[in-house]
Parts: sequence; structure tokens; C-alpha cells
Amino acid sequence: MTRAFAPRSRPSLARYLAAAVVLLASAAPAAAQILDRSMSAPHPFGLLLGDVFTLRTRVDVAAPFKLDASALPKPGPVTYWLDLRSITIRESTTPGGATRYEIAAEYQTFYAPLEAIEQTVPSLKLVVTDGKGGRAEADGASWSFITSPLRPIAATAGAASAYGLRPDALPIRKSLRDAEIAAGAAGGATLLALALLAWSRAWPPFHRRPSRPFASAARAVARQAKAGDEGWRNAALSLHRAFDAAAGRRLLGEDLSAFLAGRPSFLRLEPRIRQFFEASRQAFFGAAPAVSRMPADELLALSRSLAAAERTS
Amino acid sequence: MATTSIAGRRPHGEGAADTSSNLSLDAWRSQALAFEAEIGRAVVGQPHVLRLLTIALFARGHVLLEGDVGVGKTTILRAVTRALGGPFERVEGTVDLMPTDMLYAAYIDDAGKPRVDPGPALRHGEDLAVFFFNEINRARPQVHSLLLRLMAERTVSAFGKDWSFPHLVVFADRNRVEKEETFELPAAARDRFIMEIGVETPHDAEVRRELVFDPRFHDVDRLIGDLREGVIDHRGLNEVGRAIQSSVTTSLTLERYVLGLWDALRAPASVGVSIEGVDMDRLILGGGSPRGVGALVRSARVRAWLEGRDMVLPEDVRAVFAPVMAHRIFLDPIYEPRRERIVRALCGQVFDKVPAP
Repeated sequence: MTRAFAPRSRPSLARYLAAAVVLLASAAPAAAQILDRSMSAPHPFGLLLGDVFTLRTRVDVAAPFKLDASALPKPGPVTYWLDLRSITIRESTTPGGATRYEIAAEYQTFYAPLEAIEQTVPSLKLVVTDGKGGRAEADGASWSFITSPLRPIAATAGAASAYGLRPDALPIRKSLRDAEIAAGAAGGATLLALALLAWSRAWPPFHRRPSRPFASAARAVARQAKAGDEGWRNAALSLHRAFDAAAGRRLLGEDLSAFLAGRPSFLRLEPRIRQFFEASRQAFFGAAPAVSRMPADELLALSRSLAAAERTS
Repeated sequence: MATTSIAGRRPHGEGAADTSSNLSLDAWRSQALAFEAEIGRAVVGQPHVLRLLTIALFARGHVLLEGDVGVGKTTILRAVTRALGGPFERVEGTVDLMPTDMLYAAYIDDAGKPRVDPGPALRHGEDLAVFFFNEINRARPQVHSLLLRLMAERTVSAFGKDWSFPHLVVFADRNRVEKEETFELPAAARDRFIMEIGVETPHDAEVRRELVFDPRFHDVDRLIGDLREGVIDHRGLNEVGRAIQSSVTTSLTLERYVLGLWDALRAPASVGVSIEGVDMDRLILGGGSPRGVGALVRSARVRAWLEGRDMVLPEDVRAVFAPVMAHRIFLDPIYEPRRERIVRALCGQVFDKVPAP
């Protein structure tokens, strides 16, 4: 079944190829820079839907010309029924000093014929350049083959014979263990990070953390501060309790300097803390409450700043 | 029309009265600070004691100074007396001092006849400003009870009539080292002192060096004599004291706070006070009388006024709490020997535990 028309085909190539080598007509009007072109292909019949075949084109190019790989087609659909799966180029030098390119293009046909029919794979466009503006083009060979429909063989005895159409193979059940372990580890790490964040910010269930009194005070202030006069007083009380907890005793306005001296992270907030204590004095001990006190927004902002400062201390 | 004119005038009149009383209170404040500064020229390293004495003076209370021998208790009281001006009398407490010795001076006159003149307490008449009782714990209980009336009512009976001393302040001192031949003050007498101020050796090394090496401090008479006399008018103190008490306000929150402190003092375990080696449930026999807490509020008002405020803050209460309340706390006898340490810890912890505001 072998037809060998290729005097230049190498023995290894001949062994690899199943059927045919098509020699391109050397007399074709190719550019002088392309010294030789040939293509080898498998046997051009018996191809079925989904078959993969490789067309190998060999081109000898005279120096200093080089094959322009960017002119070759990219892997992907070529026509509606034909995909180019891959294209590889191997470069070597001929005894004559020319550059030899061996282009292996792997195609897959998805043509579903109803009866045996001929189909043609379009030819490659070969472009060579010398890098100084010189350029020549030539077409590779196109290749036609006979493709046949998939049919059960009706003449054999019994559907269970080796020639009957067998059910599709089950897809391989690939193990997902690695992915599961990775997902589990990532989930665990996320939970741990969340727990650490909650611990750092004194979110529930760490909201009673003794070293984060201002975090819970900030939440209480956010809840209470805007609920009128009574709410403001409750919010201020919450903040006072946080100061007490941070100081380890009841902190009065006159103790602020000593309190701040030991806590550099709160020093930045000193003017606002003093403003709060002054407002609180007026609200709780002054003769005219609700005058010249801190707006609820400022109180809330201060409590949040304190909670942030507490985390860095 | 008359109604209109009265209604129109009244606010104006009230406003004017307010302004003038405020003005005079402000003027009195600067006088009080000048008074404190004047004493401070003779008494160094004790600003805390001087401030408390000034507060007691304007709260119209009597003061007991307590401390070791030679820390300057007498010097402080002499300096205060000098800067206050007005007649003053001084009595040294001794074992054989009897109440009549304070009221009557009995002697044989030039003609050989027995004479009885007014004694130290009466010699200056009813204008007496300061009665200065040195070493009060050396005097007998009879003397203490006379003193009790003198302090509580500012009156005594002698020569068949009642004498009243409206401007009188009693200063007393006692040293806490000696226990031989002394008579512990009865609780009722101690309760009459608005403050019991502890005087200690100054801690600051520079002040101590000055006290020991500066010849100025060696001659106490000259030191006191250099002070300006009568920096404040002692006759005006009663009125100013009343004005301070009515112009400095206490809010509802502060009132609750003071009552909370009082409760904590009476039942320290209820607020979580704990002192090492002390059974808190049996520590307290009596935790401050109503008179004592009243004195606390009076002193706190004066302190607020001295700080230039018209409202009392918890800080004011704290500043005067230990001197006013400590000697009114009665401990179980088994804890009395360690009294000073226990009461100091108790007062400190009460302020650490009772929330303010």
C-alpha cells in the first residue's frame, strides 16, 4: 500500500509515515530563494470523524533567507470541520549550506460524512525573508483525503461481536483528592485568618477581650450615641468604662496626663480625648448640660480612633 | 404698671447681684491663692498640705495635723495663723491641763488678793480667730470635751455666761510617735475636725537639702515673722464660705457618685475592694458619719472654687477624700494597729472601684 515518490525523504521519516509522501513539483514557479519543497502525509483514505493526522512539509531555503514563522497558521479551527491542533518547526542545515525547515502540522477532522467523500486540507503559505526587506512567498501543497462515515457492520453475526459498535467508553474519573486537600487547606486558612482578624478587632466571639475595651466601647457608642441626650450620655459612659478598663482603675480627667504618658499610641489623640473629658464633665457635672458638648459623630469617630490606637499599642 | 416695673427690674437686679457676688468670689479666690503662696514662702515641699489647709479654712472647718516629730506641723500652723491675721491663742497640751486652765487664769495680784482673769480661750474676747492646740493628745479627756463644744458650737460657758466665737478656727496637732502619757482623742472629737492632715518629710531631695542647709529655715521665729500678716480678712471667711457653698453646684451624677463612695466605704466588699491580709467583711465598724460626708462635699466645693470651677468634679472629691474621711472610718480593733496602711489602701481602692461619672 506504500507509494514512495519521495527521493529525498529520509528513511526514519518513511518509517514513521504510514503511507505516502507527496513530492511537490520542483518545477513549480517557486521563488529562487526557496530551493526545495516537499510534503509527506499519511494514507489519504480511511479517515473517520475525529481522526488526527500530521502533514509534514520540508522546505530548503537559501541563505540568508529564513522562514517567517509568523506567516504560518496558528493552532485553532481552520475550517468548520478541521482543527489545526499544533504546528512545530524544526530547523537544520543541508549539506549544501541551505537552511532546512521541517514543519509538522497536526490536524483533526470533525467532518461527519454520510458517505465516503473527498476533503481537502488547505495548503500552508510559506514566506521567507532575508531580514533586509527581501521577501519571497510560495504555497505548500494541499492534501486531499477520503473520509468515510461511521457505520456498524451489519453483516457480522450478533451485536456483541468484536465488530459491533460498542458503547462509548466511560470518561475517566480523575481523582480530585489534591484539589480537595488544597481547597480544604485554603478554607481552613481563611477561617484561621478570619478568627485572627476577629481576635485582633475584638469582634464576637472575642468581643469581651480584656485588652480591647475600646473596641467594644466603639460598638456601644455606635449603637447609642445618636439616640438623643440620654443616648449620648450612655455612649459617653461606655467610653468612660473603656478608659477605666484600659487604666485598670477609674480614670478621672486630672489623671489623663499620667494615663497618656504610658500609652504613646494614644498620644496622637490627646486633644480629642481631652475634649471628650471636658464635654463629659459638662454633661455629667455641669449646671447646664447639653451645652458645648461633643457632637455624636465626633464621639463615634473618637471611639473608633481609640479602638484603632488600642490595636497598635 | 407697678407689676410691670417690678417684673422688669427683678431680673436686672438679680443679674447685678450675681455679677457682684461672682466678682467678689473671684477676688476672694485670688486672695486665697495669695494666702497659700504666702505660707508657701515659709513652708516648702508641702504644697499638698497647704492646699488642704486653705480648703479647710474656706470650708470653715477645724484641722488636726498629724505627723512625726520635727516635720514642721507647728511651723505650718504658725505660718497659717500669721497669714490669716486676727487674734490667736496657743495652748500646749499637757497631762495636767484642765479645762478651767483654758478658760480662767487664776493668780495672786500685787495686793496679795486672788484674782481670776479670762484664760487663754477668752483673753481676746469673741473676735478670736485661731485657737491653736499643740500636742492635743497629751491633754486629758476633760479638755477634749471642752474642745468638742468649742469646735462644734464655737461657744463656751465661763464667768456665768456663754461666749461665742463666730470666726474661730481650731488648729491642733499631735505627733503619732509617742503613745506614753497620751490620751487618744474620742471619736466624737475627731469627727469635729473637718480634716486630719498627715504631714510627712518632703520626698524631694532638693527641698530636703534646702530645709537642712538653708539658715533661713533654722530660725522659725524669723521665718514666720517675714510673712505678710493678714493676707486675707478672717472676718469675711464665714460669708465667703457660705457664698462658695451656694454658688458651686453639684449635679445629680455627682451626688450619686458621692453616695456611691460612702456606700463603698461602709461595705467595701460590695464593690470588690480587697486588701491583702484583711477580712473585708469584718474590717469596718463605722464607715463615715453623715457629718463626715457633709464635710466631704463642703471641702470638695471649696476645692472646685479654688480651681476656678462652678461645678464639683469627682477629682475634687478625690483630692479631699482621704484627709476628710480617713479619720472617720472606724476599724475592727484587731486591724487598728495597721490602721494607716489599711485606710490608705481602702480609700485608694474605693476610688478605683466606684465608677465616675
